[in-house]
Amino acid sequence: MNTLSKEFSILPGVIGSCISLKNVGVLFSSFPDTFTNAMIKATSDNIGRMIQMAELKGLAPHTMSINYNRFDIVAMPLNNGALVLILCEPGSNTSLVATTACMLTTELENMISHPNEK
Amino acid sequence: MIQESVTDNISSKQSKEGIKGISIASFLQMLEQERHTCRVQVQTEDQLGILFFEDGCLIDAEYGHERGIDAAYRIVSWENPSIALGDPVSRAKKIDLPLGYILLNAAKQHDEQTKEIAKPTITYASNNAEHNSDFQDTINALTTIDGIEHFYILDQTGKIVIYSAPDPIHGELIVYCIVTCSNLRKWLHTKSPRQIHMHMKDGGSLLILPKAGTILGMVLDQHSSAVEISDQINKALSLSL
Repeated sequence: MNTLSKEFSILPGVIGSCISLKNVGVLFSSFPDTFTNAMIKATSDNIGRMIQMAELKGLAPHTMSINYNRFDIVAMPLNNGALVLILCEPGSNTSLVATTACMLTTELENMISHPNEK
Repeated sequence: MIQESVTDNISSKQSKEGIKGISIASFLQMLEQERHTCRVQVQTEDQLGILFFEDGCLIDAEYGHERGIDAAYRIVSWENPSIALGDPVSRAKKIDLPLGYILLNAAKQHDEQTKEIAKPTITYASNNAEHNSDFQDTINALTTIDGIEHFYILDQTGKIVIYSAPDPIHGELIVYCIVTCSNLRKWLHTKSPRQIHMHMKDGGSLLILPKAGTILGMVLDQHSSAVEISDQINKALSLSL
């Protein structure tokens, strides 16, 4: 997971990334220490629900970005129920971050399914 | 060269009967590149026009009683015409504009006409005309920006006041996203979201912009950038204030 996290961290403006799994919690996080586990879980749960709502409406969300004044968040749901969150500085190129996340989808899904394999 | 082989290999039979399945713009550009001197007969089911080329330059056009640039604009805008090459004829030069410029302008005019036809139907949730007129500047901005397929305008309470979609399926999602992201800010110790953008697998996207007193939700087409649309809306709305 660390290797993939580094793929995100080299992108301009990326502060950290995390992966959480529905009903399990946070699997991995490189968010700053100021982000507690409870904060990350609340963020993942809330974003996960928005994506679920879109799916209920017959839409197929691929990625999502939310711009706050202190940071931007890019989220990407995976097929196995996991959610990838990438924390960026405000005004970052979230489109580039989202595209990079999409490119790594298969690797991320494999890594979650087989966490002990390198 | 590929272009040379295309026009040179058009047999005289094809030239007389007409070539189909190639866009008129591509064909004329090939004539320009190969510096042809010829007459091009362009025909649709009910229209016939002639373009005159000299050394690859479009020098004149003829459609009904129209001559010159007006006739040229009309002819190059036809879709799926039959094109036939004819022998050159002596012709006075009536067109001075480059072919590329004419083709570009014709395409722009065509896009504008298509946009006029595809203007969305706007539904007002309230019959209060005075209340609805408060949103006129916003509606004008949203209907003139390219790339917005449909839009929703919601009031502060999250109620849809105006929408352009035939079926307002995004309405509830927009409200839910705003409420959830606003709730999330408490966890993240930040202010309310400035923008929410949900990108769909089909390439389209949903852009949500909270603006003073209103929430704008927009369904964007596959080619639109959320950043550019957001900038254009900000500019349009700041000018109207």
